[in-house]
Amino acid sequence: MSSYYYCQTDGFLLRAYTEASQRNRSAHIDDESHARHGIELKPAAQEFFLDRIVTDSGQLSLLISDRTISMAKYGWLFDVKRCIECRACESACKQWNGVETGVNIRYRQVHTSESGKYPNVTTQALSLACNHCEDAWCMKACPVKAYFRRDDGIVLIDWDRCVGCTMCSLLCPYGAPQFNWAKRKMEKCTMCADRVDANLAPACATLCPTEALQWGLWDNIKGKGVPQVSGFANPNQTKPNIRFVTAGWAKK
Amino acid sequence: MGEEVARRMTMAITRRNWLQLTGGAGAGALAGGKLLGAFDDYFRAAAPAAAGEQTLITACGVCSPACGIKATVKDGAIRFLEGLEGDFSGDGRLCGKGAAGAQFAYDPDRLKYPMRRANPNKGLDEDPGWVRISWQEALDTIADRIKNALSRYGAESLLFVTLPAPDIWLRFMNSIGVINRVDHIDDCFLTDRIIQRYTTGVKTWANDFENSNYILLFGWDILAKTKIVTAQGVIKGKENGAKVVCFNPHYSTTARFADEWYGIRPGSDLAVALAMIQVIISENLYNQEFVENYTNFKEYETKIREHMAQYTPEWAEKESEVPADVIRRVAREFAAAGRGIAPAHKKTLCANYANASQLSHAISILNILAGTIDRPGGRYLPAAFSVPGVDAIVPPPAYPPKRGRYIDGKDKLPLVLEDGGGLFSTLSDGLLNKYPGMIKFAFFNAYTVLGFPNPPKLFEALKTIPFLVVMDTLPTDTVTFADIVLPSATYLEVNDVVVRDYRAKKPQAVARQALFPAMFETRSVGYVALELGKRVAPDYFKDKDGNWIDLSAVLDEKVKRAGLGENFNEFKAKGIVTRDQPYVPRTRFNTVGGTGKCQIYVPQFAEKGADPLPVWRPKRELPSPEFPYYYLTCIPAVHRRNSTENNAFLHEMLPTNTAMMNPALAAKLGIKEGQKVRIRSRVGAIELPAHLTETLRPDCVMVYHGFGHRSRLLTKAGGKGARDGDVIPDQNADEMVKAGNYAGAACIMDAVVNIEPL
Repeated sequence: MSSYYYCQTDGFLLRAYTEASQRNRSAHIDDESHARHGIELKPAAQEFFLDRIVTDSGQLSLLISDRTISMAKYGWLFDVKRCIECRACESACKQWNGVETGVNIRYRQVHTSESGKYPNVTTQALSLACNHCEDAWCMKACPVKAYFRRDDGIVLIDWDRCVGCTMCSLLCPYGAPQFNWAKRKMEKCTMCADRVDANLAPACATLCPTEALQWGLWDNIKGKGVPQVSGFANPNQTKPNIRFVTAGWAKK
Repeated sequence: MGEEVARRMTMAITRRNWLQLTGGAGAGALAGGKLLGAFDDYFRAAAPAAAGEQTLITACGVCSPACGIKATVKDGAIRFLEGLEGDFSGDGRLCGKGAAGAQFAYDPDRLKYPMRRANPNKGLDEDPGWVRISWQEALDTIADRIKNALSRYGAESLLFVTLPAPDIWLRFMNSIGVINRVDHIDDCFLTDRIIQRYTTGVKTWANDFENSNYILLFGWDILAKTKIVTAQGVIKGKENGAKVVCFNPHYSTTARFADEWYGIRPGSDLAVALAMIQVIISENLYNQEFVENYTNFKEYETKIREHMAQYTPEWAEKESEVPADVIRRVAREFAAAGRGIAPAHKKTLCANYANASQLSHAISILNILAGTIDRPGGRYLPAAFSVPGVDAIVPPPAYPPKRGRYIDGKDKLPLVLEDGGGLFSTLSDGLLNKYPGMIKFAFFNAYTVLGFPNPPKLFEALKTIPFLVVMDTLPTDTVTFADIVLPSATYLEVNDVVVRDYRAKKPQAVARQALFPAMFETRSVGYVALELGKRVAPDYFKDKDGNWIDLSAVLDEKVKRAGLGENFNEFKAKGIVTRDQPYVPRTRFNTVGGTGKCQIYVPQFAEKGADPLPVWRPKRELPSPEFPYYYLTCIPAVHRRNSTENNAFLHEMLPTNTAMMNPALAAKLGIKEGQKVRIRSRVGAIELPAHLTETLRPDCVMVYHGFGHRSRLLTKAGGKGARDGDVIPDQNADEMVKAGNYAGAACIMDAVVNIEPL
């Protein structure tokens, strides 16, 4: 536990935010995992995050623990031109993970958007879930260290620790953590970690009928497509493990 | 009851608590006579489930391609449904509806046991006063009612609202001479089925998109139907460089996949198709080899050329607002492509105007001219296993002749009459105006009133039927009007043989097997057919030794005769059977008339009072000062017709509908996003929040079908959204004849409406 940044007013955490803010904000967080992965942390994200905390410093708590930033082993590849909005990914996710129904928790969601004016209109569908970001703001935001990251980069929530404060959902640019008001806990995509452990792809990518949504080793994915499409938050902030294929259909 | 309903609305059904609940199975008795038992009584199989984890193969039952499913079942509960590798329909995948399948079986609102109503007053706001009864009592009562109606009023007094399947159910209807059977296909593919019989031989579902290089789409939002086989086909076609051209007033999901999309004026697809035929014929661009050898073009060439000459692209532009040069260019490209296809199928935006017969005919001609009927890249005739029906295995005595009057008036439409399909769109008129009081008994199987045009009129019509039986899995709006309710098993609880016909260049069959014993006291309609048959027409339900037909023995025999295995158990252990055989495109086409050729000019149509060549006819209703806007309905990708809105997963994804309209139209009418609007037609009005979208023509309003369930027992879908059908006029057969709607389209796209902000 080499370095904490936190702010908090109720005395639950160890140090005051002022102490943290006096440090160099762009300093390395030189904990073990960063050293191990050789990541240099000078992200705009960090600036953004801390600025946001300053404005809320009277109310919000912040803990940046070790291993919030890590190299991922797996990631998503989404081909925007192949999605037919059938929601197989959503249903697959709900059934595999036994996600509660009736409380509107959907780890994976298909978002549709349109642009242009009739008749020069286009639409786009994006299937998004947790991107298990290399720089996971949800983890940074969690005041009780309920978030943890597996060695393969998958970010999970420990429900024994989660107090349902929703801080993570406020920070996540992708709406991944969702509040289950029945359980009073946060939930999010687990990248089907149990399936991954059993050498299976996550349920969503397994069922996608058109292979619009694919999953695999990040080393194989990171060079493909583009990092961002319209409607997707700036990937420089959290370094999400998702890439998008936008190139057109082959012409023969 | 209200508290119970409210409690269950918030009670989520998940795999986890389902598994916990099954642990208590066997404890406690079901409360007799109560519709809504205690929650922990709810999920209980009728028979003990297999312990341990199994992987079972079955087939989806949400829509017709019936994708193969690999199901992981643990202690009798579904753990996970995924696609079956090697399956032609699903290709190892499932869509969102298929993957939500367990939520149909585990829906807490499911009908659990037979019930009869205690309250004689019928209406959506009446509490039926359900009383639980035994199957014995239910079947005896129904059989008595049928016998009574038959002896006093004849077979014409019986109405069956059901598909003609399974075969034993059709046998039951035949055994008592039922002539009034109607189903939803006039909303759907009836026109195309009739036209294909005469023009190319037999209705085919198989479109060889992957090998096509030009895909021409009139309206049908083929990808948002989420049939995996069609979606994959179009995508593979795109990968192979196919061009996709789409005409649709709505920039649909399919339009996104199109290289060119034109926001065509609703109901004018026919004009564009006619003009394309005109271009191809007048410029002699058709596939000479195919057209000369396999069609009757030569025989009727002068008539065809003379008739089509009037339909120039310039004329079509005036009707459709698609530029003439685009029509001309697309027609030339389509003909030159070599492997062009123009599928026609279903309700969604295309073949459901009053001119659907002519449009289906024109589309069929385009495929014939491209020369791709049963050829690579075209509509082909699937190679399928031939599974004998129960009548082949246990031949029945001669069926009684079918006598009496047709409640839907289809006798006015000879092509519909010989097809055998019945009409949804004319049923209300038949019950209320044409033959009031004729129907004494009705049986609805798995159909809700939402599928009909003008449901409020049908509600009134249903009240005129003295005895109504409804069999379903869920307490739908129709159930609310029933005298007796029969709980139906879901597709996950029954055994069957499912053959492939959407993508089948060689025969393939999948075993649909029960993943667990049917829950509660639910049964299949096959069981009902047999039990009613024993009571009403016993001679038809005995084998040659005088024993009652054994449905599982019949299933074994089907498997054996189809060459799928020794018996069903052996077949289901295999799960999927594919016979390797080369695909041989046919040279004789089994069209009506026996010429063995595809028919462009259909002489039989002329004999039957229909158009032998497609003639331009406008849609039934055009915008007027009172009703200035086109009304469109569409099925969202998330749902299948009106049967999935109460599914826990799918309901979360799309719980309700909206009035979708272009922002320019909304601005003109002073409507803002989310503001409630009233959509009014000559038959009714609905109120919905507006949703502004640039994807629609500014002279249209579009409403998703399937919402507006009013049954209070549907705890999720009940009371959400509005019925699209409330503003869609129903019709009678005379109107259809007058409109030239000789192949019986329900005209669900034909309404025009007024829109006012509230």
